Amino acid sequence: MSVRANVKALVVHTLLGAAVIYALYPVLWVVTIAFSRDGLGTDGFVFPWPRDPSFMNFAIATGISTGKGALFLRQFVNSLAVASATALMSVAVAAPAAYALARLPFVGKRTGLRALMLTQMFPTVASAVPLYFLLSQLHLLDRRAGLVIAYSASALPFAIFQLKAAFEAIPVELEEAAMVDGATRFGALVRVVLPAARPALAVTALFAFMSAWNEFVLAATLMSREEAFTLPVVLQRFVGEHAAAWGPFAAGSLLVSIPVMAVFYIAQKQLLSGLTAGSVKG
Amino acid sequence: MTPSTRREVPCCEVRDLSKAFDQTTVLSNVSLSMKSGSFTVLVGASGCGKSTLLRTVAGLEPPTSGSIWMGGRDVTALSPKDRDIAMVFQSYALYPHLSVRENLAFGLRLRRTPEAEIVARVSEASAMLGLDALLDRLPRQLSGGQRQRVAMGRAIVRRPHMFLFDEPLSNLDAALRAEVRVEIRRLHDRMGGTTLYVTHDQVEAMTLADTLCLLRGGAVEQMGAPLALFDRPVSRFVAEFLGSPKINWLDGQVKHSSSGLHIAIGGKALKVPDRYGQLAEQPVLVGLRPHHLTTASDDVPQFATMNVTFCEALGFETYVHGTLSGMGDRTVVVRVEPSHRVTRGDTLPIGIRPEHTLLFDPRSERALDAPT
Repeated sequence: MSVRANVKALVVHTLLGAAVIYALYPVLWVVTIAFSRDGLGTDGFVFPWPRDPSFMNFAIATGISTGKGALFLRQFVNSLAVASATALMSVAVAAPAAYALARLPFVGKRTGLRALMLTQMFPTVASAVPLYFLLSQLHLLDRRAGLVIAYSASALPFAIFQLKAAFEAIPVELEEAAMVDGATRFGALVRVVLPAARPALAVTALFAFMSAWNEFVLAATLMSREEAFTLPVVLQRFVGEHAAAWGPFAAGSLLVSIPVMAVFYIAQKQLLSGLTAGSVKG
Repeated sequence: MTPSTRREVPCCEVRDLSKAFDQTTVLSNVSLSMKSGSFTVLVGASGCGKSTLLRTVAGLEPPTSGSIWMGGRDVTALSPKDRDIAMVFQSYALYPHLSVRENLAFGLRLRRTPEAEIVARVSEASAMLGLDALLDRLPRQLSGGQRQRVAMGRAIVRRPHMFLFDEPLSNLDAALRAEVRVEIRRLHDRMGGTTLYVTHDQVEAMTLADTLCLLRGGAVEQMGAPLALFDRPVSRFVAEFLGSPKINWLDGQVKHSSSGLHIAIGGKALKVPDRYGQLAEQPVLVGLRPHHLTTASDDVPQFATMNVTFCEALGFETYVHGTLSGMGDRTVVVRVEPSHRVTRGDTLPIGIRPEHTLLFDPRSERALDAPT
């Protein structure tokens, strides 16, 4: 390798290294606080290495040390149930909608697409109050079902756009072949299009799962009983107005990230595989 | 069944079919009839409507007007699954998430065929096409040729009334194409089904078809046995479409003289074939295929002198390109024996086998012996 190439590699890698540190430092910070007995401490400055390492903060965050372990478990289940149901519901509703938008001609298609796009332009907070009244009328406040409905509704437009693009990328011939082979249009969708779109369905479900799992504003507005809280609301409680328990907050944040990381890890293969490769000559 | 009392019901009949997308007419008043067990090839340049016609027969496109009949019943309104057809797509359209075995079994499963029967039919098709070693692979793990075979296998296991092929060989390389072409015809003969096959390749069309249907601008230009189209094209278009290298054209004039009817080309006289009968004195477009021109010899007297501009030696035959002295500046291609060593700048004495001459009206471009 020439000197020039070496210098170039050095510069590129230095820049990349800086970018990685820039991106990861806050995470490192959280890890450090979580494992430090006194959390953020009094000076507030954080070296990326724990002071007086301990699991104390995790015990506090999960309620083990305060005898509220069962409550935390319940809140954890709330989050898991709401996020999973949101993922399922978004995909279940978005898939047929996206298919229609991708394949079928109908009046109002363009307008419909624009309206969907428009909903993406409002901040979540704007819908918090109307949603509160709606769900209150439906007696769904403090209920997981209420959150699932609210989350699915806000996840839908993006899910529809994503799946529409995925369906459009699937060759029409695949469906036609299925229809000649004896399937109805719906049969072709279920037996051929959906399996071929598995990676996109996985990404869409994952995205809906994550947005529901991490969502705070609506959860804090719609859920008032402690037993109905989801984890982001629980976490926020640690850094209240009066005292900020940064140690348990950081520990809790790490615990909250674990399921998402696990889902990512499991879905990795689905996300990356080009499943349609080889079906048609491209 | 005696032919005198009952007419055989055609396997598939297209009646007066028209198809328009928005304002664009793609097919206009196409009619054709396919006998049971026949192999019909739809051929034409790209955009002539041949694929649309096939897709309409399949039920994938609704016709704008006209009807389609299969086995004596009107299927125009039926969906593809109710037409008892199988189709091989240009892109193969294999189900990407299913193994070769499941791709083959897909249609049978949809029709709730008993499992034992599915296994039997899949292994029969697999043996026929040499897919046994590939049955557990996914489409993406196959080569282009293998995918093509799976696509054919998927059609065969269904044992349909009719096979539809949409340019099935266009994604294969030349050597494989020739091989699979033969195989498709062999499978057709073995399965005994009726086949409708679309291609833009005139060699495929000529070699596969019992009946060749040449489409032009959404209408049938000529239909019949391949050699009938080749030897007696009804129009300049048909004459030019079939044959490689292409047919040669010379401008001539029909003249009456004491010795009878002849065509004057650049001061030389060419005999008019008997089948044209009486012709009025008129300008004509003279079509001569490369193999109907030859180097002049004792058998074929010299008609013209060729100024050679280019030479294609293929080993088993040689095509010489050039112009004929005093007969216009149209390029003419002549087939000569490979033993002739011809190079650019040579002059070559050329003879014509007059019995094969084709005559066309230069304005209408219809053959002068075409039925009117």
